[in-house]
Amino acid sequence: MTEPSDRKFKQIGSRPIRHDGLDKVTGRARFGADFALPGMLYGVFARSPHAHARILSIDTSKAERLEGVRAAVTAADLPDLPDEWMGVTEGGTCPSEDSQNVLAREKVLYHGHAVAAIAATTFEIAREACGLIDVEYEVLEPVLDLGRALAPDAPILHENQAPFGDEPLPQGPTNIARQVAFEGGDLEAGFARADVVVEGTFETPMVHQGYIEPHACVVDVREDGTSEIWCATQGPFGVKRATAMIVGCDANGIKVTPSEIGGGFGGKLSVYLEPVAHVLSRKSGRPVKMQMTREEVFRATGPTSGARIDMRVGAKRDGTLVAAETRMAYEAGAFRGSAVGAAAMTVLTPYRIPNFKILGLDVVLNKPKAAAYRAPGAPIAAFATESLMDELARRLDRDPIDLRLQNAIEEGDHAKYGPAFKRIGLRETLEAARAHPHYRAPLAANQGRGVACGFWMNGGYQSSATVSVDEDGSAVVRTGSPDIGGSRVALALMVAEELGISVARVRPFVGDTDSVGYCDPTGGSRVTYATGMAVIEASRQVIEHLRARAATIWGVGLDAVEWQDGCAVATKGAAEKGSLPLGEIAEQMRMTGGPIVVSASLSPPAAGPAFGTHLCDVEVDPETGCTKVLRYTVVQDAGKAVHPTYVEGQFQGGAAQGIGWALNEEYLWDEKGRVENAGFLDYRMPVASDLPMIDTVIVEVPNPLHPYGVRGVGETPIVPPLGTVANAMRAATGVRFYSLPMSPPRVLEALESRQG
Amino acid sequence: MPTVIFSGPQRRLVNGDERVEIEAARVDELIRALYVRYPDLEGKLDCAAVSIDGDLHNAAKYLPLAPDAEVHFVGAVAGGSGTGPAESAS
Repeated sequence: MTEPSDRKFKQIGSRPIRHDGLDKVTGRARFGADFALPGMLYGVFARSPHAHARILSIDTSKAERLEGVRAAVTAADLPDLPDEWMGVTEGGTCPSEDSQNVLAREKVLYHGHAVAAIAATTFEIAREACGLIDVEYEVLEPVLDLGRALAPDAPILHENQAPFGDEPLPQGPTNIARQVAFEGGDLEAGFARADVVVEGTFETPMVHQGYIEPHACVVDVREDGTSEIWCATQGPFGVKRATAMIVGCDANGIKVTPSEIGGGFGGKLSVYLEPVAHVLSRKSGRPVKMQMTREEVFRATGPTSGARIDMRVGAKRDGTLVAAETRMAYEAGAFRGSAVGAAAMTVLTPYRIPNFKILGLDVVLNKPKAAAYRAPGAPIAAFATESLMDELARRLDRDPIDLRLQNAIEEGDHAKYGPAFKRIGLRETLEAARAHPHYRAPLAANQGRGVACGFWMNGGYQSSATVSVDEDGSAVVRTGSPDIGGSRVALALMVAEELGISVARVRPFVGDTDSVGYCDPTGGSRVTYATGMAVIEASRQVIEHLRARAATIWGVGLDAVEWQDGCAVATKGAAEKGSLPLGEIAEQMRMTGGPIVVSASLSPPAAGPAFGTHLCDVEVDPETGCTKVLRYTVVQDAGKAVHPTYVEGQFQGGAAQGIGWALNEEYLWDEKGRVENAGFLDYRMPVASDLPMIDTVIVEVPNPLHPYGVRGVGETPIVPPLGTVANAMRAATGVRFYSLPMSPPRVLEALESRQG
Repeated sequence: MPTVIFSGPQRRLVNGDERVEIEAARVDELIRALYVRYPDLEGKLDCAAVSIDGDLHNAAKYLPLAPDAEVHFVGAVAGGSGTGPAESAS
């Protein structure tokens, strides 16, 4: 499918200003909370004050009598759904649990779990009414960490749920929801051949995606039961499907319009508000707006798993890896479905290791249900792998990049989950990192340098696109893929490249679920790859139409018309006709067959994996334990960078999030399972002044699955930073950090214990 | 005939076989034939992602198989939860 590697692109690889840029910087762009309808009510949740409790009763009658209250909803208003795991595509789902996460039924399973909601004429009245809801609880012991969750006498969150997955499965009551395993070779024989074995137990806390825009929606249910939803989401078709499922209505009657989205990172794949607002609107006969506070976002949405990883790696004296074993326990939160599967697929994959055993456990406990977060599960896994690779390099007195190069997988090598890789660029990123001036920059006292690699599979999934030509010769490209990271301009560049017109003459449009063909959500780094392929295919069909129209105008055969640089060009004995620009063909569309509108759709295989190598220099203040990131460089294989500025932006954004995860971010819980830092003042994400300008190097090893060679780029850059920063900290302090975050108090404690 | 290569945990369900050649022109035929040959495998592959010659597919049921195709079933393609079927990772 890949085009000849010597194809000279005219627009792909350029850096035009994004079409949505002006609205974004002038405040015109409309996000989820900006939408309003006349007569709209305001919905507010009543949330559990307990992390684990049985609900004995809920009484909303006092709340409903408050002046201004128009409707109340509890789980009793939602239908019973199947309590079965539906392993469809990535992750899978359980309808009953999805419903219970939206509104608790028999039990509340985390502090802040929604138990009811009120719609009133103002947010203030709705909030006051929530305080009048009587909920009687039987408080249970909360399960707040993996150690307690896996203890033989642990309280069991879901008494009737048996674990599933790869066998042998645990027997008897357990909080292990799922088990994932991969094995290869002969583990013990492999370790027997090892001259050096490094090992460790690595722990990371639950962290949040930290998107700036809180969840928000407006839902309007009409008298006939049909409805419209306006919301911030990564997947409008998913919102439609999930809302219909949870409220028990016909999905055909729901239209979802996605707003601009102020960050998602996986956290806006789930629905929290829409089904509840739907019921409130149906009951009240009025549109209902729901909008989370920042505190609610932290307590009841997102996060990604905390985890504990035990790992050992064995190598020959010459650096050749011979064996590795890991057991990874990931916190799923209140309901099963952590990213441990993806973690198991990625954890050891960058390196050739003939003998390995990987075990992943999905563990439920009394914290918010984990959601996808940018390369879900992989950064945590890479923290362990890359820390031990660094340790191995130290033990063998090897350059850390050379050691990785010695063991790096290449085309033809098998992933730990089975398939052989096609062309991949891990080696190229390592070599580019080694050649970068950053790798030779001098370091001073208390400073150190770290290196780490990362891998993400990337997604394919279903996409569609429609490309149409207007009478003025401009074009519109319509898709159902919400634009999170600059995908609109990337898709417009593809149309411009194919048709041979300026990207400014292409208007990209993200439509509602009634206006565009089906698209799976924006996720898995898949939009520029998969939706992009649909756009390219539609554009090429548009060209066939344009050639035919030119042939009609000239009265020549189709085979006498070629398409070059935005013009139909007559050939094969008709050369005297010259050429017709797209604009002139468009002007005559009504006389040559009418509008030119073409749609294309596909369900491609996974997008072709992406690898990255990161470099980080830190300086640690021995007096305060404070860490300053001095230099940071991201090197990643993008396959082909369609819009390099936004590819670089993805690199930088992923690195920034990963640095925050490494150095500062963590949920803080009290002994009852209440989040103590549910706000950006206390949940410390990096801000611009915390970071240096993050340097980027785009490596382009074409993806054989894409016509331009494109690979997804959004997720891989968050995979290496945890290990990269930890390795830099090791170099700066002499201390190996096995737990994140490496925040000043922890660093200080580690430095003091080193001295002591 | 297409060759199916089993991962370590899958081998417990297929009499320890590391690989097997099965006559099948499409993935659904292949899965049915595997269930007949290995009853303990019944139902375990229905939702698995399928790698055909290195390309990982999440919707492979009706895909054709070349006579020399190398097939892996990957049950663990999981990128964290969305809500409802067919959600994908971030």
